[in-house]
Amino acid sequence: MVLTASNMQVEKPFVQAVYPTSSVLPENLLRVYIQFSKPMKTTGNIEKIKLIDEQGVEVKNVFFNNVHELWNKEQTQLTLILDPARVKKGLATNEALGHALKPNRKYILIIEDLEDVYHQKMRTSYKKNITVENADTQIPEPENWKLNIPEVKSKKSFVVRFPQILDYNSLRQRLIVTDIRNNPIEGVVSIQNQETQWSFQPKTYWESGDYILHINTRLEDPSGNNLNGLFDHKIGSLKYKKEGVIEKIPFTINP
Amino acid sequence: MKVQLILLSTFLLLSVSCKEKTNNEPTVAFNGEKSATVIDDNILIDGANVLAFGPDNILFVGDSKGGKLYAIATKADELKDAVPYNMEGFDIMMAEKLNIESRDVIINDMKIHPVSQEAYVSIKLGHQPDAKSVIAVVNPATKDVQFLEITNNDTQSISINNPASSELMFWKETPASSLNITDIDYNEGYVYVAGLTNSEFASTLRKIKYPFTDSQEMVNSVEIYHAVHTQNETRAPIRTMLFDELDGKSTLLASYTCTPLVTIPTEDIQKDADVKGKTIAELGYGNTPIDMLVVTTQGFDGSMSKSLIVTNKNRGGTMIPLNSVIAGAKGNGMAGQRAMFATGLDGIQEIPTANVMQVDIQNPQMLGMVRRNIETGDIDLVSELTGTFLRLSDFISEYDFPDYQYPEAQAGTKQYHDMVKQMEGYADLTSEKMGR
Repeated sequence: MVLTASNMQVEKPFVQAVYPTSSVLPENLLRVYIQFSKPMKTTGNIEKIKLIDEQGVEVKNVFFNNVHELWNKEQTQLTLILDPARVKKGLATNEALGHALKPNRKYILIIEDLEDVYHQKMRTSYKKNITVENADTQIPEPENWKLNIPEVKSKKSFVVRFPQILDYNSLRQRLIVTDIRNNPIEGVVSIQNQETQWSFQPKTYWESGDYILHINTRLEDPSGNNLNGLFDHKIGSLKYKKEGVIEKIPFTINP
Repeated sequence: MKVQLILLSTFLLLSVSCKEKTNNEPTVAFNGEKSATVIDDNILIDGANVLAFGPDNILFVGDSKGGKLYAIATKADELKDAVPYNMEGFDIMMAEKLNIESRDVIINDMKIHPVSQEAYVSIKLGHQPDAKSVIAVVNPATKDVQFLEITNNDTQSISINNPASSELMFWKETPASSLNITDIDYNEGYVYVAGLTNSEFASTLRKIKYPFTDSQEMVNSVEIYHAVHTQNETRAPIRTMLFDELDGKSTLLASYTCTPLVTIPTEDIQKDADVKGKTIAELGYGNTPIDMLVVTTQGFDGSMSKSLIVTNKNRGGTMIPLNSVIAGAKGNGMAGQRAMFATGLDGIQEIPTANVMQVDIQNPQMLGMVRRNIETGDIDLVSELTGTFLRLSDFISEYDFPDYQYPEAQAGTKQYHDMVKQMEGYADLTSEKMGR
């Protein structure tokens, strides 16, 4: 293997998106994803991400500073976890300090000076305005979802709308459409309307017949609540004994 | 000061090998030309995030990106003497050997071979997503650095990317999710692999039989309960863990992300089980633990006692008498306390291990550690005495002024200083050499 730092004259990195994309977020927010335009260094970044309150003062000890930062394989998406010690009830820090985000307050998330794998800094800093609302203590409940069923012989999307924001990564991987015999249908998933809408466009035309939307109950909202229960729950209050149980919503495309 | 007593016994065991600082004399043998840009393929491994030694000189290597666990047979000559590491600028030394920039030397883990006392340091070569890793093997006595050869004959591997057995196969491919192996540990015929994904805040805890077979077991969930009265529980990613006998019962001690310390009976960790960890202490807010060790230290009366030490990324280290941990494991667990600092067990003390990136037991007297030197910014590979958890040469005190004379009452301190100066590579600064 030859180790040379070639191709140094490449475009500087920038932030493409921050999830959740909504600017209104719950005080018990657990997780934020930052999507970069190119592969980034995977160490020493958390310190460069700041949360500033309305007075312009940095809020300290907000993000959980893991020993190994949580990057996807391509090193283009960083997961930020808000310090769970301050999110979880019953823990000493939560009792003493409370949530890092306070309801009805405004904050600015500032991401700057992160470097790509060639040691090049971000071309501009990225700012996200956040208004905090009360804690999200609702689990995602499929009975409240609205389905938009496409017409037969079309390539229109099968659309699911949620009454609350769901987790971007979780939506990408925890929902799947199959035929009645559990064979996955090939297609493309897209996530819209600030993570309140999941669309599935099939690769080939819809045939008439029965289909199933499979939902892995690990599907979470940005506060870590999943279909099985709240992130912070009473002992014995989970819906299913096992994590990862599959719930199914059948739907029919009429001829 | 407890320090002096601990050290008297250490003094007798120290070998004469600790002569000089090594940072100016990289007397290292490299199995290739220093100027070469090509690194032998046989020392490259796809990824090496975490290391753990198992039985019969087996090194287990966890690769997050590849989703693999390797078992590599190592050869080791027993080193009985307690010879310290004094390699300042270790990252620069490695960069020169590997012919890369020191900012491209990414140290992921370090473990000390239990027989040879050699430091095994996993180094990722650069920041690129496809960057490979090498494992440097550093001998404290000879100062020799080799790179571990990864040969087919000596290496077994197993994929650990299987989904939970209860889930449908079409969830096997989860492109948005990548597993970060946070720790591995060997216990009684199994390698335990703890992980955290970037997408879901839940622990994966796998139990893989060694020697590897086709089967691996995965618990269904790991939850931590902390409350007697609020009785809340939470999905919990384990950050660092170790197995120990607590009052005769094999127990997993785990510290997780946001620093509760929990105990889990080893017998509870079974396939598809819902594992409940009990919170026995909290180690403070805004922190993540790095390594946990059970060490033996000597008290004032000469008696030996065991302590749990936890090194932290954002705080000084934590030391807890193992007896307190045992009492905590037998109790109801802690809950509902208001505290921003370490709390929950008797006798919790802070130890000066700030800037320690990786630590392991080197020998009965010493810990081997990879530290960030905050003055130079370099990464050092050094040893410290177990019990003091510091390096004398980090400090300038009254004792260091040339005209200082030790009074009679300071004879013990003098003896300690002379011994530690030799250990840390400053044999030319002992009281005898300085004429005082």
